[in-house]
Amino acid sequence: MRFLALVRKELRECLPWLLTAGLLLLAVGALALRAEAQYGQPNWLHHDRPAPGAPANVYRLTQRSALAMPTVWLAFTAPSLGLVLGVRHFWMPLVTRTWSFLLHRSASRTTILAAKCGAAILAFLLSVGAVWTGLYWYACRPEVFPVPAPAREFVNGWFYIAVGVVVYLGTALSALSAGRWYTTRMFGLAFAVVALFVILMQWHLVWAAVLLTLTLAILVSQMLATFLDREF
Amino acid sequence: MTVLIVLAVVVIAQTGTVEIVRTSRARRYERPRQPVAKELTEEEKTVRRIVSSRKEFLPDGTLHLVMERAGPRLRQYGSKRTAAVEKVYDVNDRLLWEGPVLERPYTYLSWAEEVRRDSLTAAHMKTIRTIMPDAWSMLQIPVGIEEQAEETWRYCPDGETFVGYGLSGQRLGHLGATGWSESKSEARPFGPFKSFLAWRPQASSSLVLLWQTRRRIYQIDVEARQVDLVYENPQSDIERVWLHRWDSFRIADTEDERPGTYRDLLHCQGLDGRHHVVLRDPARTVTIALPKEWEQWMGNHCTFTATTQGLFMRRNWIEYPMPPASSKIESQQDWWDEYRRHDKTWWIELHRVSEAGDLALVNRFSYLFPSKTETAVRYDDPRSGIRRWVNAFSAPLYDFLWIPFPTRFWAALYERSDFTRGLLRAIGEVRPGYSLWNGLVTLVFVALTFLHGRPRRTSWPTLVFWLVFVALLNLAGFLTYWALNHTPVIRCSTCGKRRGLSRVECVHCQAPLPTPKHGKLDLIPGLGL
Repeated sequence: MRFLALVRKELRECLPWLLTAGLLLLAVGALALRAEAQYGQPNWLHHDRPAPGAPANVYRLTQRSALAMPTVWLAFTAPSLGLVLGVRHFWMPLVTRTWSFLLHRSASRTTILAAKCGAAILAFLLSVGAVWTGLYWYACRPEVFPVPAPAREFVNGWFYIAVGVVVYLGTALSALSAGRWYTTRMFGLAFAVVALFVILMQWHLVWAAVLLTLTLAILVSQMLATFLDREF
Repeated sequence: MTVLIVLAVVVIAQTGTVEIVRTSRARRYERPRQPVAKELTEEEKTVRRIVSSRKEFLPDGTLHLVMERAGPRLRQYGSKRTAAVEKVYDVNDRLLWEGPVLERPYTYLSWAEEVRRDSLTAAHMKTIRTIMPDAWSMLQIPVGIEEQAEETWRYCPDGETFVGYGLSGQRLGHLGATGWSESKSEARPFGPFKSFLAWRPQASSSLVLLWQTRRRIYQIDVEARQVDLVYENPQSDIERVWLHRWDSFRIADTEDERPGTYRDLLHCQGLDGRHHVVLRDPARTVTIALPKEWEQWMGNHCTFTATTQGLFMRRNWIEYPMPPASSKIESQQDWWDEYRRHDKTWWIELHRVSEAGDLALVNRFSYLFPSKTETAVRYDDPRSGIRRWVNAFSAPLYDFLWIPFPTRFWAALYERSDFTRGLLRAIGEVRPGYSLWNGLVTLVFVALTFLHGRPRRTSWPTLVFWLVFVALLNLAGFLTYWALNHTPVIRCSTCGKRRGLSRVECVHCQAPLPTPKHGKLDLIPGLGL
């Protein structure tokens, strides 16, 4: 019950950001898909058809799907949401000096940390996760797009969302660190940014999943140790 | 996490330093002073003309030296050279004919060309499959009537098959190694993608693909939903592919040749060095094992063509041994200087290839390629000088990756994984290479760690761990140690030596931390509080 109450409290606090991210992605994604459905019908042969016997420009045969624009926005929105939620959950209590109020509740530190992280993951699922699933469902409707968006693009989208969680944890770790900002304090965020690029540059999903799991394990273990030992 | 970040920061700083030095030391290129050009003798003119002329074989094996007025190097890709004027000489330097190209009375053998320039390779396929949103895209082959697309066939890299969609969104089935199938479970994967090229056949609006996997080559007609296995090498991976008049591929480039003269030819070179030639009408595959000693010569290159009279191979080579396998750029430059200073004999040979793959020499021609008298421009990379000093701060741990234990472990990982390949290349740039300076710098950092850690130690094993850690990682190890272990020290009130505050007792004399003296300001005087 205490855990759920804490989750509700954290969700309530980050509700504006959650709604902003979800609605932004929904608006941009819907507009992009609508435009793609109206004007993006396949008629490539008109421009790119080679002469008989001539080789085709094989690079022109690689094309983006209807979800290309929403994907770019998702890749921008999810880490941004992670940054904002990390600041809201872990940095703002330092600024407003309200950590003591939270820690003196009748809940263990582990419960408080789990509630914050649980609320953040729920926020990702409810805002960008749900919107992304909806956009993909729309892009797969055969009456709108004859060629449906590939499942791999849907999985890629969830990697962007997971990278948002990585940024959230990195921001939280930086906020919890007792070091000075010019020494080790920014290491959490720096690590998250480096991990973000390394994960997104992978082409093999298994490698990306392995790197993502490693990154999450490192960040969670560091955050847990820092949060349990730190004096506020 | 800290050590990963510090390692990354150190590598970035090292690379940045090297690049800054390279930029600051980059000098404007100045062409070396050339000796005054003297008038060429008739003999020198002849040599120069032979060197710069094209060497062409007639179908009967006769060699002609063909000079274009504008010079062969000015030929542009795809041009038919209609305006060019040629002079044809025989091997004894007698002028046989002179006039416009189209009126030339000789028809020379044309040869297979490598398909790499028209292909989409596995490296590009990986690029478009990266998760990064601006890079990710799909390979889709449109099929249409006239200018209107009717179907789209999308390549699924995970399943290694194509899946087709109609204009109304219905699924048209799958194309795999065994051809068309209605369901995904029936479609056999093509195999690991290597490269592909596509061309538009005569009287069709759609494309035909030549799809190369690691050991197979397929021809895919998406409009007819037909997949043909053109070539398979069960022994070795395919390294390079050449085509000559394969179906209607590049038919426009060779339309001046008489139809029916040539046979469709696909030439594959395997990683094992064997050459395989696939012929059509009638279908036949010829395997040619070239002599090993050919590989020792510079410029050794073979290409094939097939006419109705037989299969022919043209070989070019230079009578000068290949450079030794060395990674040092200085020794490569020395070798190159030596190569330029010597007169060399260039050879061109025509061989007839039998059905069994045996070679029979038909004709050969050699000519002298004179040495270069002008001074060669040596490229001195300013990075190589500074890198020695910058890499003195690299982690000695990097060198451990070059220890061949277990045998071929890293080499196998290098070939298989892009991530490992990139990582090993980056590490290869900054690895210290067992240098003395690196050892000295590491020793200094170990000493600094000892001086810093001795008064702050909580236990000897912990301090020894950090010393080993710094010895393995050099500057990055020291910075990590420092970031995680720096605490203020005080002077012990008992022994007077410096001590950290991580332990209650002094590390030197075991005396406890001093307690404050009781005074008038104590809240409860009796308890000392």
